[in-house]
Amino acid sequence: MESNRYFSDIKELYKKLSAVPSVSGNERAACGAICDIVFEYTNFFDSFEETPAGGLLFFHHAKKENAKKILFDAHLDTVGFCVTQLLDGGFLKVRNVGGIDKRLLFASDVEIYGKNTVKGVFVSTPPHLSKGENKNKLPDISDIYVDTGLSFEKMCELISVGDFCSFASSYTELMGDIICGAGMDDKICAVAILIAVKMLENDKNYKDDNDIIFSFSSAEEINGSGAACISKLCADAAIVLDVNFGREKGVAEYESYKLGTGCGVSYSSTTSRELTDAVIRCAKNENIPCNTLVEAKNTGTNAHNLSNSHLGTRCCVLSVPEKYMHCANEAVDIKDVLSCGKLLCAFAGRFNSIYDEMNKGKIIKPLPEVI
Amino acid sequence: MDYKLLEKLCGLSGVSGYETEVLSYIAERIKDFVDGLEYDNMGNLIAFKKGTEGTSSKKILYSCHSDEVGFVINHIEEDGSLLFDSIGMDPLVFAGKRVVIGKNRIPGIIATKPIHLLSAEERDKAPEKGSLYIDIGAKTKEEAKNLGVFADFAVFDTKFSDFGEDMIKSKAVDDRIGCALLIELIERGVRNDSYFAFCTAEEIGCRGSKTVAERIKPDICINIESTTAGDMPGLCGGDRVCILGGGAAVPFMDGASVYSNRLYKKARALADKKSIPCQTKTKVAGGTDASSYTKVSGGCEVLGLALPTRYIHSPSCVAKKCDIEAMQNLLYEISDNIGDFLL
Repeated sequence: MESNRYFSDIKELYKKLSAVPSVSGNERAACGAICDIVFEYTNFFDSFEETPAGGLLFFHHAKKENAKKILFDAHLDTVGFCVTQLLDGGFLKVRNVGGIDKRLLFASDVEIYGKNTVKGVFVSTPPHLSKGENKNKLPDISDIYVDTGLSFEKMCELISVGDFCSFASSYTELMGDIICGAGMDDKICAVAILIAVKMLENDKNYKDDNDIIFSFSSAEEINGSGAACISKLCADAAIVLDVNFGREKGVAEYESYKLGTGCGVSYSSTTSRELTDAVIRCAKNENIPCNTLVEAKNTGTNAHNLSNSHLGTRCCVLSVPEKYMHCANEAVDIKDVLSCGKLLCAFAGRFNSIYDEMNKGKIIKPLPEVI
Repeated sequence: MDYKLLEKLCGLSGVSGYETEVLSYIAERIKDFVDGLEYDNMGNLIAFKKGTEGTSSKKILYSCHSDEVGFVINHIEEDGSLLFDSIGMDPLVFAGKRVVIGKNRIPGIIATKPIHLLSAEERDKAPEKGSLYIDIGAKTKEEAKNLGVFADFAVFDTKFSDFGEDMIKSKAVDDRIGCALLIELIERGVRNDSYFAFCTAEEIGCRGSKTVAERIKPDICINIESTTAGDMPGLCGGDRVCILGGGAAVPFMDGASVYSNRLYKKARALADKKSIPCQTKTKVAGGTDASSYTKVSGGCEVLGLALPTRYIHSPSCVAKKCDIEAMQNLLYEISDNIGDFLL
């Protein structure tokens, strides 16, 4: 079955991408390995570029001149840590890069990207030693040490202050079609984009009259500066892919998607309503499972900065529902990743009419050119 | 000021991110009076008008924002009630008020529990945001869903009216007064070539004006706003910010920008010279699209003009007609003497 083929593609691509560390600020170190993975999987892209901010851009040029530009964005960076101090006995102090729930750190495995990748574990105080009244009070992340098990000398040889760390990647599958691991946010969305371009590549009827740019952008987890940087591409439309909250106990219906029920599209005052409506229509027409949420004032994605940086880019936020975001075991349903891929593919196929619809009446009388 | 125009503008729905109704009305109204008119990618409406005395060496921009505070429906419950997120407001001003939803203006009430059922503690506290919902009378989820209210916006259902002596009361005075003043300026005409921006999404972080600033790269910007007036019992001195009847407010600074001090002084001096009532803001608070224009690459000097308005970001904003006239007179004087304002 066709779907099954993509199922295994999704798993393999995720495993490969998640094995390449890319904590915010250290994306450049990942670029070579990421390019290899992309070009090994697909011939769709003609060229690539590294942005000054450390993101990657993959370009597919249409068969015609002056083609319109479609941008698919996912972010390359993941949350993680940064080494701030080396201590006697092979211990490290770290601080978080991006939003980390410190309640989950104790006794968690971590990888430190020094000269080699070094294994570490966050220390935890065993119940025998923890004192009654402080038991439930949590220290700051910078006071939760990482144990490398190395001698101080050996540690200093391998690790320096400023080195990045992240949760050790450990892929596993749960019942149904749920896969889990670290750094799913946002590499699983890059997987959805790669699946989509593979579908376009395999589609003999695809007209190929739009440029398609895949931006694997930097710094989303820290300040969204990577998105501001790609605004200079002046894309005619951007679909920004990011994970969004999966339904868990204690997470409300209005702020989450049920895993396995399809991809998600967000309505927001910060993104383009016309484009969002067009994407939802695409899903309806193609019978692609798709749910909607309202994220009124901020989608918490690259769309926030991309939409109003430079001359502005019309954005739509497309999501893979995900449980346990920013933890070592983020969980998604493969079916939803596939829905995302199919929707991107359908969108690219219909873009010309979507573009015409969106731009109808936009220029009433042309403004003078501003230098 | 044509108060029929202001009434019309205040009555339109344009919550941040959903300004189409307001902007298409403005576009239709001004299109024959301007020489360029476009929407940009953020949905801002930008106009260009040639001056009677032609071009000047500097790019002049007049700006206001078209959006207003309001609500977005984010969930429909099984019983047909609507959950919502609010844009730019505290629950104290919207609990129990009437709203209209979407293009079809479906009426609803922001529901609250009757006082009899509130605990002693609840009676003394502002209602919590999550506890409120909109009741449109739908009995089931399906019924509400079929009306297309999910992800739609809602605004206060209040009528524009005369109020007290020489005052008006309405929703959305912030910043339809800016829209009205710029429309009338366009229709009256300007001496020098000028751009006019009717911006989107000001109330959610001055978002629209950022792309206007990038596109037009003005040298000088006159930003027209409605600003909070605190002239009510309980506040005194500088805490009142500005007062109704005190004339146009020209700020030297607010919570997000320091305005061009040169332009600030010139505007105040011009107002004095022409005997136009004028005051400044005595408290540094709030923020406007000026924050985008002060960051234009290459530099831009920004002048703010604001209408003192009581209870902004509520269903009942109150402003004084003599202040509106002062705003308009000062705007026209600045426009006619713009040469003196340029460096």
